Amino acid sequence: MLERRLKWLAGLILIWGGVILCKLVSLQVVHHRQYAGLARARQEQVVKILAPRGTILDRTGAPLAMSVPTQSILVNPQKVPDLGVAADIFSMVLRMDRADLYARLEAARQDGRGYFVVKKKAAWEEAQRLRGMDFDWIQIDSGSERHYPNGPLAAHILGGVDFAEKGNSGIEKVLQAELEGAAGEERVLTDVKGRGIDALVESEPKPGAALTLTIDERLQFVAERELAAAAEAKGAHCGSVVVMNPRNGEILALASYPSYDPNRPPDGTDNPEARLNHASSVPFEPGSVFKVVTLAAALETTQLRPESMIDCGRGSITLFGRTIHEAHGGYGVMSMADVLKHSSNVGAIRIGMTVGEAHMHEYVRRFGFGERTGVPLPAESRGRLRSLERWSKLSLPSISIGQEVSVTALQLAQAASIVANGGLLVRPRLVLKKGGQALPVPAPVRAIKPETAMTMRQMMEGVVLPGGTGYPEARLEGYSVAGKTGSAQIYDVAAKRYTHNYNGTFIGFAPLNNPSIVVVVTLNGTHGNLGFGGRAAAPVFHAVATEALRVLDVPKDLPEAPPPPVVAGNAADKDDLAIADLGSREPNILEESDEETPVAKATAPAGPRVPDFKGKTMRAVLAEAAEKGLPVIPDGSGVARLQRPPAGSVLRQGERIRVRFSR
Amino acid sequence: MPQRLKTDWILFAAVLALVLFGLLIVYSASSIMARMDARYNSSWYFVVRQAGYAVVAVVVMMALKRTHYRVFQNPAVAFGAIGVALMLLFAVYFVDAAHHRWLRLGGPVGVQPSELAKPALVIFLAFFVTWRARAINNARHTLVPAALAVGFLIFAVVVPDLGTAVVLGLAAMAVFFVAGLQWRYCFIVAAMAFLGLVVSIFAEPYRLGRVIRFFDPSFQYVSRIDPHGWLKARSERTLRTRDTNYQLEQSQIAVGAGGVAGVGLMNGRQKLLYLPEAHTDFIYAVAGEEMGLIGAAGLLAGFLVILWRGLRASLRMRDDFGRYLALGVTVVIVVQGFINMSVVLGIMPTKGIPLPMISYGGSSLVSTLALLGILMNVSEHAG
Repeated sequence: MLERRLKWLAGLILIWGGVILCKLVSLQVVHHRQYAGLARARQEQVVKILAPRGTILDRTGAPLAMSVPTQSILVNPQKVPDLGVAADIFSMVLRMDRADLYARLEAARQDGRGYFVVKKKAAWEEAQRLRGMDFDWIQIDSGSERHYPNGPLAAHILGGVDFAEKGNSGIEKVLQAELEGAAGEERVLTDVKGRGIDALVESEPKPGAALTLTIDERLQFVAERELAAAAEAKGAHCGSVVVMNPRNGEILALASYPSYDPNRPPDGTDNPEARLNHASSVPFEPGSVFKVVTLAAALETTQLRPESMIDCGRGSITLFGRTIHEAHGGYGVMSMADVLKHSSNVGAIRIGMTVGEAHMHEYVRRFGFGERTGVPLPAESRGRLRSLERWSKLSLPSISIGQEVSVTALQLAQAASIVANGGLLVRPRLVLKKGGQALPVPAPVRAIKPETAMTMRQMMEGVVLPGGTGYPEARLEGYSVAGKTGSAQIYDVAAKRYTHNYNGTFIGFAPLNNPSIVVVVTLNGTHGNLGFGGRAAAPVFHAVATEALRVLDVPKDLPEAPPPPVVAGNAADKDDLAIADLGSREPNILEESDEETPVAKATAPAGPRVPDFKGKTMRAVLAEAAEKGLPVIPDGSGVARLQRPPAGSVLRQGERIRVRFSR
Repeated sequence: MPQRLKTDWILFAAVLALVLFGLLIVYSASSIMARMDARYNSSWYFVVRQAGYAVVAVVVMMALKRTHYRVFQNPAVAFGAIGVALMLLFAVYFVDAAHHRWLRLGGPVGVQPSELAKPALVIFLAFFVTWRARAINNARHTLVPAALAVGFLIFAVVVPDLGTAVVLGLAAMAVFFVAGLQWRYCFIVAAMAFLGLVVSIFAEPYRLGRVIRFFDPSFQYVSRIDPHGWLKARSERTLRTRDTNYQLEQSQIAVGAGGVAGVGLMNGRQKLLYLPEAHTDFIYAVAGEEMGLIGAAGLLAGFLVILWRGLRASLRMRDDFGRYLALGVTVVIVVQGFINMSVVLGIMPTKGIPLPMISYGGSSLVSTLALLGILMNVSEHAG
């Protein structure tokens, strides 16, 4: 009896043990995979490890854009145990206004929000202090923020990024894929509250590639400064400067006015023009600078030589019932070289008519107009060049003097480089190296014969020689220069007529025989005679080219001589305007404006004039400066040789005069 | 001087192995929680305490192992033990107003009287059954007094600790069953026990919730017999504070994730606060996760060794008191162990009792090893 009952009992308990074993096998062997997956899903969180965005450097290695780690402090207002305590802590650690913070927290809680950003860019130490407090309702998110250490410098090239650090303009946008890198992944083992206990790096983050631009920070700075100063002085509402190496296409500086600070997110008060890249995205009618193309085409396709005489028709030409006038006065018969030097519209049209439509169109294309240069900038304009079939009878004469086409400053720099480098079309380049790897230079394409380029250079030198439209502003001390001025009336699309506002343009290069730099300056929307290309844009060329040659250490090819004094009387000769009214029955508006004499002094900005220090000793210079209360930065020793700004210019507020002494 | 008895080395080794294994698992299960909890602030907090309890418990066990079991065959001991246990249970009802569970002896030291009830009941049952052995089926003079005494004790335990009450009840039933209780009485007792269980389940909303959720998680069948939703409302009254389905789910995930070999000692993850009570009532889940089927089945085997040695001693004993003492100890420990394992694996609804010798807790460890000390002595006499 007892024995039987004990065996009964033992049997029951053993069956129970068997059930337990079966369940164990079921859980751990049969359904192991399923439960292991469930466990992982609950315990592990895959967290992205941010890959730092690539730094953008200038050609010398100076950082232009970099990413810095940031910490944002967040709370869930619904889970904060005591808003008062939270406000106390945050106001103390983050140095925020307690009352304001409390009110905002309270409001967020009332709204039922589960997410409240206390501080977006907290300092690392602040975040660390909050971490140390170890409140589970404080959330600290690590992020990264794009920083542009030079503020507005090169803003239009660099562009900017959005809240997620994705490029939304400029190089940042076009080369987003290279800059971005790839985020790594980390499996974080979390406890039930989501706190990380242990982490296992699944894949390492791949940082974005560093980009080295062709830009030279110093030159970029000078280009922007000079452009802004000239635009303000001449009343231009926008403008651009492009400095390019004609041999390899490297863009050394690319400035656009007005500018902005990419560190600041855009808001409603911004000038919409400021975010446009006027050097690459905004085409304009080039006007007289385009005569370079006309003449180059003539040299290659006709019997015309620089010394060939052109009948300039005493200042007007009548074509298909319209009369076209010179900007100022009129010329009789003169050589083709002089047509360029004086920028005769009639002469250029005559030459263009000789070239013919087909050749003209071909050479405009050969010079790279009507297509994008391919720089890595968003929204690059291809300009406007009508196809040959759509040309009217007036297209050929118009295009001969740079109307009916529109171009960008970048295209002009590319075209000027063809003349400068001996006839090769070299595509402008902005990126020198990607992640330390030098980018290959694409093979240049021959556009014109080397002889043609050489002849063009010589003719363009005439522009900056006495009597030329670029004289004397575009002359450089110690270097031979070639250039071309241009002023186009701005066409008012609404009123369908050309206005009294001008695009002042200057293209130039130096030194003449083996040019190291091409500089293109455009000033858009200048008024009256002040705004003509030679007058408005050439001084910018002068300042930028001087700095560029100095920075690049280009040997001087001319003996140093004091520049010839500015002759006030020859202003009219330099006004170089492509007459606009080819296509309209309106009388040439410049017929009335002929009488206008420039009143430079009236609009000159107030400020002390910069004295001429050249040839003086340092002691004399400093004495004079002290007497006049001018800030001077001496450099070197010996006798004053160079000074910036040049003598006679107006010293702007905060600007200092740099004087270079040498023996 | 009686002849030197031969120690039951198999039982002794099994118990010692289980206790040491328990220390290991307690450390693994509690260290991270203890380190992160500001109240404990040290990963060694629980394991150091448990080691201290183990020393005390082993000393008690060794003392009882060397004490002849017949000293308990004395009405004074049997009734005295049950009297003390009842007294303490009533005292704790008023002292620990919140849980009726802990009797604080100053500072952090405290005892759970429900644990003391186990040895008291085992000794009382052995004494009573031996005393009334020839008239075991006499309803008037044996069963009613026994039912009163045992029922009173169980009722006193039900209030703080239903799980232990179930263990005690099953042990009492097992002892009477083996003693030769007629089948009809067995059924009557079973029916009464079932009724008592049902009443106690309905008395507490959280218990009702646990049971309903165990059998019918979506309330599909319950709502058919309960169209007004009374049961559902009642069972959900304390749902937020005691969501036990969550515990069950988590413990099964832990065990399932362990696989055959386990994820490795200290590598378990469910204990990272996912699994509540990981170092006490749900420690079997940690063992299953970290040591896999090998560890979990090994623990099961440890309890089966105790079952084997206990029932073997009971069978071999010529002395009735020793026989029922061995039986009672064995059933109390093995049944408690199996209930705990069943709960962790989701075979039974949550009870809230520790795994003997493994779970963290001083009272449980001391009372369990005390019982095993008595069993060892009996086993020595059984030869």
